Order: sequence, then C-alpha cells, then structure tokens
Amino acid sequence: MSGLPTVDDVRAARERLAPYVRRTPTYAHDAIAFKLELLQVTGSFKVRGAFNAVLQLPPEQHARGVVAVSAGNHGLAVAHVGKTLGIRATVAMPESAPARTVERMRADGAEVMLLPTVAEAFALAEERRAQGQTLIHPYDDPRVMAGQGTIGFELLEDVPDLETLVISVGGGGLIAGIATVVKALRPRVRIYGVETAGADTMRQALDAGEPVTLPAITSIATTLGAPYVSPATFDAAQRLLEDVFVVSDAQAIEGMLAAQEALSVLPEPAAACGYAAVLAGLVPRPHRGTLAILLCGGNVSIDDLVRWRSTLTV
Amino acid sequence: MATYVLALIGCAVVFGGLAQYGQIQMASWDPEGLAAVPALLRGVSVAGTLVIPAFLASRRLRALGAFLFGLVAAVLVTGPIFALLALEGRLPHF
Repeated sequence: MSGLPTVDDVRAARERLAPYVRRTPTYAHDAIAFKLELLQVTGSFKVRGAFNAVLQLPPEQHARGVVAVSAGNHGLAVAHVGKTLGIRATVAMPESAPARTVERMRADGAEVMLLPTVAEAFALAEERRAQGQTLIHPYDDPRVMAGQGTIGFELLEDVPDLETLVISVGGGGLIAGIATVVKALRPRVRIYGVETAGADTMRQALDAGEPVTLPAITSIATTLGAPYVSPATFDAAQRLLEDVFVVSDAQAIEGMLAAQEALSVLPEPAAACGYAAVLAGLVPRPHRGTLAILLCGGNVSIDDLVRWRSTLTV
Repeated sequence: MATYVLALIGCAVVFGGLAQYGQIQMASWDPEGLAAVPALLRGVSVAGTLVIPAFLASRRLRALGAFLFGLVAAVLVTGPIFALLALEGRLPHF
C-alpha cells in the first residue's frame, strides 16, 4: 500500500490512537518551541503510525500477526503494539542491532529474528508475509503516515503562531504526515527537513529529481537510515517542504548536548539533527511567528554518546 | 461578432488562468473548512466568461462590461487570500 494520507485520514487517526498514545508536551526555550515526542511510548513517534496501521487491519489479519523490519524504533513500536493489542508480532533485524533494543522487543513478547544483513531481514519479512502475516512498513504506508501526522494537530494547538517547523527525515513518513496536516491548516507555515550526512536519502533524491537508493548508511543516526524514500514521501517533500538540510554526525551530537542542556532530555542523533541545523544557522529564522523543532525520538544510551564523542570531533 | 469572440477568448484565458492558479494554491488546504471555495471561484470564472463578453461587445454596455471584468478578476485574485486568512483564524470562518 502506498500513497499519501489526507488531512481527514489524519483526523480519523487521531481519534483512533487517543487511547493508546501519549499527547506529548511542547516546551519553549530561547524562543524556540520543542515538541518532546521523545517522551512518547517506546521513546519515539513510531508507535503512532504502527498503532494506526494495525488498528485498521481486519480481525483475521490480527489473528495471523504482523511482521516488521527495523533496526530500532519501528521494531520497538510494532512490538509494543503487538503486546497491547494481543497480536503476534515478529521483528526481523540485522545482527548489528543494539542488544538492549532486542531485549526490549523480546520483553514486549515479540519474536525477534536476527539476520546477518538488512537484506536478509527483508527477505524473511517477505517470507512471513507470504505465510499470512501483515507487513507493517516503517514509512511507505498512508496509514503509518497518517498516524505520524497526528503530531501536526498537536503542534498547531500548542504553537498557534507557528511559522517555521523543523523535522528530521528518515524515509519521509513522519514529515509527509505532519506536512499534510500543517499545510492544510496553516498553508503559510514553512517546513524544513533535516538529515545527517551518510543518511541523506531525501536530499539526494531531491537533487536527483527522483527517489534514489543509498548503497549504505554511514551516519551514526541509524534511525534515519532508510536506504530509499518512497515515491509518495518524495512527492510530499517536493510539494510541501521548503528545503531539506544535511548536518554532520558531529553537529547532530552538538544538537543532542544542546537539547540536554536546554531541556534536560537527551534526543537521539536522528532527532537532534533538527536542532543542530538551527544552531548551525541553516534554518531561516521566522519573522514574526515561532520556530518549532520536533524532537522525535530518544532511544540512545549514555554509552553511545560517550563512544561517539570520543570518535567524533565535537 | 468579432468583438464578442475576442472578448470571450480574453475572458476565458484571464478568468480560467486566475481560477486555476487559485485552485493550485488551495489544493492541499483543509477540505473541511474550504470545500466550497474552489468550486465557488470556478463558478465565478465560468459565469464571468459567459456573461461579460456580451457586455463588452455592446457599445452601450461596454463600460459596465469593463467594470464587471475587473470585479470578477478581483474576486478570483482575492478569493484565495481571504480563504487563507479565514483558515488561519484571522477572519470569521465560513
């Protein structure tokens, strides 16, 4: 299933998700509004899309279970959805996935299949789909995008004079869902995407004029590590975004530390890259309204941060 | 007759172009609040194209035709602007 959701799809998703997800807060610091989606259940926005997709499956598909391919946040979300709704969830992951992530998924009752490569994980997911399980794609699914788009309604409620919005881009499902809502209700809001070098799939696609496949993800922001953007999310980026910026891993870590200092929360690099782009002066400042940044995930450990700081120049 | 045909073509190009531009602008806006606006602008464009050339072709009513031409063009230009202001809560919502 592909295509973009409508604003009415996102409205419906909001009602559907209300019993299952948190309405995350927005705090202001230094004239910037930070939407703390990293406080969401499972530590990232992904649970919104996963719930919205799974809740729309018919009962017979619930009985057969769901399968996901993920090295992190989407897998955690699908495992949590499976546990909450009493559905068998399988997550196929590369062996390089963090052990603590695997443990959290297993603690939620998910069947975690560790494969040598991502390609083999996708092959296993296809095999499971052929056997009847439903594949929950991390971004190329309008139901998933509609779930992520519910953040847009909350942002507009929390920041009535929103003028500029900065969102991380992985596969593009999050930004496509939010932009669908924000551009429908406040067409003059300027939306910018941010990626890290080595996971800049959308920037490269926009430069090429079509979706491209990255040969490898080399950024530490592994949760931005979609090897390609879908035609639907690419279309949304072309129509609804002002620009997509790329920051380095070192800048993303600066963004993490700055967010920790400002808000006492620690976003993961994939979430902090938006703040990093603002700190680097890449994002044009608003004239009269408010600049908002979405901190979309916080699944990172202090060990990771220490390791990255020792290897990257910050 | 030639004046009528020329006026018809002119109105069709100007009004059609303006209505199309407005619709493109409003394409992704919230359909719940604005569903009637694009249809309304299209209606104004079509009605103006059909009626105004008759006035412009008549020597006695040409001044009225010119006034209506300007009025319809102004409606088509300002329609999306007012719709945007209403959407942002700066005008009463319709």
